Amino acid sequence: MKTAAQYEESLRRLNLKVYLQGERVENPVDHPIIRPSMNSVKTTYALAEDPLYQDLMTATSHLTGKKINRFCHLHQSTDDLVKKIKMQRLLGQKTAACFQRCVGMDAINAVDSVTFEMDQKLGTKYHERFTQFLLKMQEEDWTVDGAMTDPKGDRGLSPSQQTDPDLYVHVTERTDDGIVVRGAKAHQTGALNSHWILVMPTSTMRQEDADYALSFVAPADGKGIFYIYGRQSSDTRKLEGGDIDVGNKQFGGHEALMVFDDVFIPWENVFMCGEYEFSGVLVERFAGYHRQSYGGCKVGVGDVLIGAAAVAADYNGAAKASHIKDKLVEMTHLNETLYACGIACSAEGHKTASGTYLINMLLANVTKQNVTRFPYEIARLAEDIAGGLMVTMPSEKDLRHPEIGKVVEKYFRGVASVPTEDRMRILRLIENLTLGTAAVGYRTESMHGAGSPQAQRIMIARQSNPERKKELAKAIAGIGTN
Amino acid sequence: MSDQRVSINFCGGCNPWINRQEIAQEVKRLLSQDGCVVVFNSYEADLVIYLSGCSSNCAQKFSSEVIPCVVVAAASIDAAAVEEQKIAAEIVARVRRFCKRMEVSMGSGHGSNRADNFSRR
Repeated sequence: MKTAAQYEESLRRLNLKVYLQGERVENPVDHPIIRPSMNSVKTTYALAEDPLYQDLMTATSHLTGKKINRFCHLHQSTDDLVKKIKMQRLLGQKTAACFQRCVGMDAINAVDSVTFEMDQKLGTKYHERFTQFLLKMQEEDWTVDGAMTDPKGDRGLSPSQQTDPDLYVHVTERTDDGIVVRGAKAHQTGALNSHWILVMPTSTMRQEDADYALSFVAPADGKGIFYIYGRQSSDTRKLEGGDIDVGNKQFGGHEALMVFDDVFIPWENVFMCGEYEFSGVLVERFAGYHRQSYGGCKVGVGDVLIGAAAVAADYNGAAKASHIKDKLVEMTHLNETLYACGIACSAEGHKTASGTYLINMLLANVTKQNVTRFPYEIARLAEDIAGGLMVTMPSEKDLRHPEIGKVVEKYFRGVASVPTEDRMRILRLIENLTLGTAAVGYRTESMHGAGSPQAQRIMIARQSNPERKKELAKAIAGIGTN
Repeated sequence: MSDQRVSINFCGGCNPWINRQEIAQEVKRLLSQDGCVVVFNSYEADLVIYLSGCSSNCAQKFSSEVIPCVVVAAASIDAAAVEEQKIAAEIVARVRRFCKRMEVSMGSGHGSNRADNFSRR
């Protein structure tokens, strides 16, 4: 396994082509806006080195028998699925941000079982190729970006009907050696902190969209691949040099537009090319795993937000008020409900033909459906407890000012025993999580990441077994039994 | 007193109600003074101390190893409540009892690592 330092060093060796705010970034690792997101991924390596966390952070490879980082592991049991959730909660607690590496783990688990089933039915060699890649990924302890979401253009049109064919990643050329692909993937979490990209189709493809039924891997700095960094609210506070106003100085997440400008992919790195009938199941399984993930990571971040709200109540001198206590109980109830869903869909998982375990799809979709709602309510309650000061207080520079600093110190103090600076720090953390850079992950990503709410409702409708429920009702009501 | 090899096996730490690190450090310090070799997260040991931060007991429940053990899950040892500040001392007391039995067992010619009345899985 890589150490945290080795991971950072390995990123420095990549030659990524990155644009941020209209400029080419030569050194993404040390860029003040990007760096906190790298620190979050780095934590997935650091905790794997620590005996206190290894039970969750590491696993035994079913391919080699070696100890590997859990993010490179294929789930071999429901225990593995449960441990995944617990690991994600732990990392959410340690970073209070999106730690980005889940998307690759979810991608390898989905691609494994689907390529196995493709080979069984079609006689292809995709699973063998994928396994070779996985072996290298485990050996090198790579961070892999799971890339699914295409820009999609006009949502009312299929990929092949779009005015611009590049709005979905597609094959433009097939040769004896490989394929050439063009297009883009949007909202790519952790793209700049990844060594490789694992591309999957974005939706169920039909025969006329066969060129869009694609799965492959490419090195993150491969020829023809470039990135345009996504803005986050309050992101330029990271350029101000202080450490209070950013709320969470050390950690963060990021998304980027990932562009494939006629990228050559050798056949050994291609895992689906035209087999449109398997595109739907690949999307469904990846989305299922990723919806499970949110029952862990968002809960860990929620733990931090609940803690921050409780600290703010202490500093405001309001901790003993019954309505404050009740709001903290409600936040905990909502957060633990998400966790319960994450654990449930994991414990109810099952084995696929390849041997890799899959979550319970109905419960995974219920998990994510709740995630589209509960973090918003938790955030609302945190803001309620924090008070308006979290968005109206002066800056860190005002606090440090030789003259007005004393005024800030005097008028923004809560309970006498707590320094004003500490009160400002905890309120800025709440601001960061509820409407600052981390709100990208905790709020809007909770809504749209791993599929927007309607996508889960479609899956819930499909999995709900309504006929069985009707039969139960009829039996109790005595219908059809006379 | 002993040359037993003891492993402290941690859960993953997602919901700790006790300070696992402090307890482990204190146990290691005390047992090392006794001559025990203390390692972490291993089953190459005469006795394992499963140290879980909460009552879910993940340190032990995902294991299929059959080995003499002390099971700490939140503020409890072998399912009986123990105050957090007394956990390290209580673990050490139990390990010492185990070591003593091992010595008696070896002295009587029973060279196996049986430790009657000790938790096992």
